[in-house]
Amino acid sequence: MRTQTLGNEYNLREVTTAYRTDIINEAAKDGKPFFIREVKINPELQTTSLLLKERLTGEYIHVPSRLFYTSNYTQQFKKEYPEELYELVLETDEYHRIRKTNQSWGAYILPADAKLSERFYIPNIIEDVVSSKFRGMVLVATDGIGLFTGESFELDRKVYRNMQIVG
Amino acid sequence: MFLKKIHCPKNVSPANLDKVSEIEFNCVFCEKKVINTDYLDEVEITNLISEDPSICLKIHPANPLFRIE
Repeated sequence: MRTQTLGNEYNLREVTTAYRTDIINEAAKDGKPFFIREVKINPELQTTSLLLKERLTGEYIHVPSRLFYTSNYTQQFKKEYPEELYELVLETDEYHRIRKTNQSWGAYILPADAKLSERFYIPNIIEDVVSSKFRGMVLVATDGIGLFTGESFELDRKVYRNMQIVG
Repeated sequence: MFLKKIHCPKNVSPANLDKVSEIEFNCVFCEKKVINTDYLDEVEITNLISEDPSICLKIHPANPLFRIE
């Protein structure tokens, strides 16, 4: 799993993400707006891969598929693992966001004085969002920006379009 | 030929970079120079990595120059 962090570039006020009922009950008593979200699987974050065993040497290798391409800045390389040379041991499924099993729902808690149309920074997003797809690699967003409309609090998915990778 | 592993141990985002120029940024966590590859061509990027394999780069996923393993 690889994650990608947006950061609070515009110094927005932050919302709290909670996964416990006592915290949202407390928020309700304090008059803070809160919005409950169901955690849903994002099919874009599901991938499969193969555990293969080379028939000749007995060595194991874990690959995205029997045929895939890797590349550097100037060249592309074809990688093949045909059935006659590589035995399939397992076909595995991966999900690119790890979370606790009790986190099947969460809530965003806003400050009590949240203003209409105010944008907030969310350090810990509940939604499973792909922040970037980078040549076959999937990056998961850890944070986000939300817009408070008074009636709702919506994650602004446009912000992920311009995300850059640093490393 | 493998050129560089794109990996930041501090998971730095562009918000953690201080802009020196359009090309040069400073990381607020480790004060290391970070180069914005948007303004560089393939030869310039390759030369930078050859000179300093641990150089930090800022890469836009849509930049067609990059391929990743």
